[in-house]
Amino acid sequence: MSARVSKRVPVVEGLFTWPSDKPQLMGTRCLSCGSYFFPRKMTCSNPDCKEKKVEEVLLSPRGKLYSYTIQYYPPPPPFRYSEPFAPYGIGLVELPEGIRVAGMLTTGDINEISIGMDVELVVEKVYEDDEGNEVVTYKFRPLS
Amino acid sequence: MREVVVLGVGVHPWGKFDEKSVLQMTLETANKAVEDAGVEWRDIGGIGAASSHFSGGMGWGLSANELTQAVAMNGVPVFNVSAACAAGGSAFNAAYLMVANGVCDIALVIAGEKMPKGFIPRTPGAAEDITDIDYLRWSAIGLPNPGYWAMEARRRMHDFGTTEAHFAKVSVKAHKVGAQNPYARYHKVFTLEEVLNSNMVNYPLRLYEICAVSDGAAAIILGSSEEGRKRTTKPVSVAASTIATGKFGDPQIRIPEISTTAKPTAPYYSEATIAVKRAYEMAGIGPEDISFAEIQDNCSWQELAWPELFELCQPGESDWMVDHDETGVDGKLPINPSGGFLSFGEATTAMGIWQVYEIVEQLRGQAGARQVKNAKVGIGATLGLGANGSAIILKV
Repeated sequence: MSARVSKRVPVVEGLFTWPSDKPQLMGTRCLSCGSYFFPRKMTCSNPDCKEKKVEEVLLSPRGKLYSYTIQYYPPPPPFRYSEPFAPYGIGLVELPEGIRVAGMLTTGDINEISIGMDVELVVEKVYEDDEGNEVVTYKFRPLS
Repeated sequence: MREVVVLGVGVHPWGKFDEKSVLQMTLETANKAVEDAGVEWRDIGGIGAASSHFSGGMGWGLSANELTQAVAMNGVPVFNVSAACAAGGSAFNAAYLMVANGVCDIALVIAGEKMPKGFIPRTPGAAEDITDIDYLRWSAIGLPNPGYWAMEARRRMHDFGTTEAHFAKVSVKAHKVGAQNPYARYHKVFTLEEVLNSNMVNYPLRLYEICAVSDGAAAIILGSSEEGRKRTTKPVSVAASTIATGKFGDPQIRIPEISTTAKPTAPYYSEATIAVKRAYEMAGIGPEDISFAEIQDNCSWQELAWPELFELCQPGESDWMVDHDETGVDGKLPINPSGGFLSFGEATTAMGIWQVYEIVEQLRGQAGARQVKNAKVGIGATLGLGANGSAIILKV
C-alpha cells in the first residue's frame, strides 16, 4: 500500500454530490413548466415557458437503462484512464424525472447489461492522478 | 421569392491533400463550377460560404473573403456561415435566399475542409470545468461521437429487431456504390463477412460502419430562372432550401450533451426533421415524390433511421429495404447513390454542398454506373453540432 494519503476527488466539481455516502446528480428544475435538466442550467429552454426561473435539485439515484454501448477503445484527452485500458459500458438512463442521462456503467461485460434493467448511481474511480489521488466520476450499476 | 436554379457544379476529390491549402482546394473547385455554369467570376453577385472549418484560416473561417481576395474583388455581399456539419446546407440557404430575393442574379456556394488526423480536437481555449459540456462528456463519461450513434443503434435493435448484419449491409452497399464514384476517397468493395469481422468500436457499431474524416471541397453556382434559360438547356431547379435548429424535448442524445430532457410529443432528431418537413412544404413535394436521397451517414445507423424520420418509408421498414437491396441504386428508394459519407469520409462543413453536387449529377443523368433510373426529385439533409439542420430538394 502507498504511504501517501490518497484522496478521492471528483473529476469535475458541480456534477454530483461529493463526498457523500449516497451520491446524487446535481440538476435543475424549472419552477414554471417542471422540466428537469442535467447538468445545472441557468434557465429553461422550453420555448413555451415565460418565467424561466429554475431551482437547484438533486436527481433520483435510480433509473432504467434506455440504451447502452460498450466503449472498446480509449477516447482521446481530456478523457484520462489508468493503464491498461479496459473496455467499459456507457448507458443512457431514464430517470423518474423524465430525463435521460448518459453515464459510464460499472461493467463492460455485455452479458451483464440489458435494456430496461434497473440501475443505481454510484461513484467510482476513472483514473489515478499524478499525486496518487483517485479521480472519481458517477457511474450506473446494474441492480439485478 | 422567385425561382432559383442550379447553373453549375464543381467538386474536389475527397481524401487527404497535405500538399494543398483549403484556399487552393476551394479555388480549384469554384473554378470548375464557374466553368460548368458558363459564367465569369465578375458575374457572381453574392457568395454563401460554409465557415468555421477545422483548418482555421483567416479569422477562423472568413472563407468567402479569402476566395474573393484571391480571385475576384468585386464588392459583392458574402455570408460566412457557421453551423458545424450543417454549415454546407446553411451556406447554400444563404446564397439561395440572395438569389430568390433578388439581391443578386447569380450566387456562388462554396465550402472546403481539411480535417485533422485522428480525433477532432476540442475548441482551443475551451473551459475545463462544469461550464463546458464538451469537457464533461469526455472527462466524466469518456463518450466519443460514435458512442452517441451506437446508443441510438442499440436502441433501434431493441425497438425494431434490427441486427448487427443490417448495420453491416449498409456499409457493404455504400462501398459497392462508392467504388464507382471517381471522387470518393475509398474505392474498396467489402463483403458482409469483412464488415462483420472489422473491429468493434462502439457496440453495436464496427469500424467499417463508421465514416472517417476527409479533406474535400464542393461548389455550386445558383441563378435566377432567367439566367438558367440563358445559360443551360436542362436546368436543375431548387424546389426547397431550408435550415432549422433543435426543438425542446427532442429525445435524441445529442452530441456533446450528457442528458436529454425527453418529451413524448417532441420530434426526434428535430433539427433535421423540421428542416426536411419545411422543405416538403416549401416545395409542395411529399416524401412519396422523392426519387432518391442523400443523407448524412456518419455511421450505418443513420442510413436506416433517417429515411424513416423523413417519412420516406415506415418506422422499422429500412431493415427490410436493406435486406432486399431496395435502398441500392436500382432499388425503389435509392439512399446515398453517391456512396455516402462511408465512401467519402466526412469533410464536415463541405458535406451539405457536396450532397447538392451529387444530387445534381443524378438529376442531369451524369452519374454513370451509379445512375438512378428516372431520377426526377432528390433530397439532401445534414445535421450539425449545436442542433443545426438543413435540407434541400432539387428537381428537374
